[in-house]
Amino acid sequence: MGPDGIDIEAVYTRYGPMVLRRCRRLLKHEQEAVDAVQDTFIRLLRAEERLDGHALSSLLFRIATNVCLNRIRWRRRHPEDPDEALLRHLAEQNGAEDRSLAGRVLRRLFEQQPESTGLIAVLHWVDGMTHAEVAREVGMSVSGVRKRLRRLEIDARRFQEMESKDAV
Amino acid sequence: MPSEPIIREWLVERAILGELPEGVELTEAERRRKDELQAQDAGILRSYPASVVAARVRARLDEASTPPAVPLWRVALPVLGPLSALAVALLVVGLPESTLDRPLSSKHQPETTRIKGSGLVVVRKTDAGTEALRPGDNVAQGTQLQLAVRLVGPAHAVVVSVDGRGIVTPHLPDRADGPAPFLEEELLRLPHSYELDDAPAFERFILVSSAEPFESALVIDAAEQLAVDPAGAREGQLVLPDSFTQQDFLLRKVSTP
Repeated sequence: MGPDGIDIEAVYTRYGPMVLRRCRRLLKHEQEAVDAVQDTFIRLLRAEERLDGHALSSLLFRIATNVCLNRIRWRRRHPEDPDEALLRHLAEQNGAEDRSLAGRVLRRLFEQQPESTGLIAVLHWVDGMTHAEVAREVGMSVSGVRKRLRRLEIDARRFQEMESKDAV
Repeated sequence: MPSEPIIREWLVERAILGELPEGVELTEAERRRKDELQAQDAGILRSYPASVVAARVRARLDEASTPPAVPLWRVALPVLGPLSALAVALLVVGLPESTLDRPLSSKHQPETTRIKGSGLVVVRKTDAGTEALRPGDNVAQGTQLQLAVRLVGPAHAVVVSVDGRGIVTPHLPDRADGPAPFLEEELLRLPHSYELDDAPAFERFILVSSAEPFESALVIDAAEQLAVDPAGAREGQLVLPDSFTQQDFLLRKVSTP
């Protein structure tokens, strides 16, 4: 048993495959995904993020997403550009005008946005959750989620404009 | 809009676990995906058995929560005290005249608040001389940095850095073991400059000081533990006794053109 009386083996046996698939999908790297699974269960056991009435699957999915986003932030400037897959998801599933904007969104996500905004953006644009579903997942109001996403898009557009001006 | 139906993997996963929100149903494509994923579960648990993962998680938790071992100085203070003083004496004697002892480049005078309080002073070597940096400044691979420790009173101090790859580098002392040097000067320039490598994202310098002697390995171990998690490496606090003071100086790494 771990802290908080959680039976790690039992929880892993039930939820581990889901967590690993989540990490594989976001990180696209097997060993990193395996490490991220451990990080996820460590966060769970440290009770850094509470159940708050959510199903354990929901909590672990959220923790795993945050763990992966942190890892992606960390390696963002790696020459292999490993967030390309996530960028593609954003470009394809966002419905945004073009890949360029998605790239700006992603860059803003990984540079200056709080962790919760990154989570919201990925749940909405990558996982296809509606605003209401994201709101339920992260414990915010629907309008709060909409506002965060809108602000992120505006920020990304402004960033894009600034870059365009600089390029002239 | 995407041409293929979006498979809501998160809902599929919950369906596998029997935790699908009430009133939500999977599409036909999602039901097929559910069957595919369910077939993977046994293989994943064979490749990464629960007993192995759980043991690793427990070990990492234990490492993080175990209080630092009783420092050597608690049992050997009479010996280490003079050694610390000797180490500092050697350090000071060996120093070339510091650019930090002179006014910094007039164009980039450091803020009074930073220079007067305890903490780290970081300057960048430039063709024209030196340039004081502020926390959060951008730096690039190849930049030569000179560090100095500013203290409001004598203390034992260690300086380490953690970079964007999670690599921990000791700067003061420049080895991972031995006692933390006892600094009596208000401002001590470290004996070696430091050239930034190609580690991405950031370089974070951490000054740990204490009125009481301690082993530098305590700080190195804590930094290595912190560096396991990228977010922790960038922003987290070292797990050290409350009597230790920690101050950091984060520089953002930017790509060279």
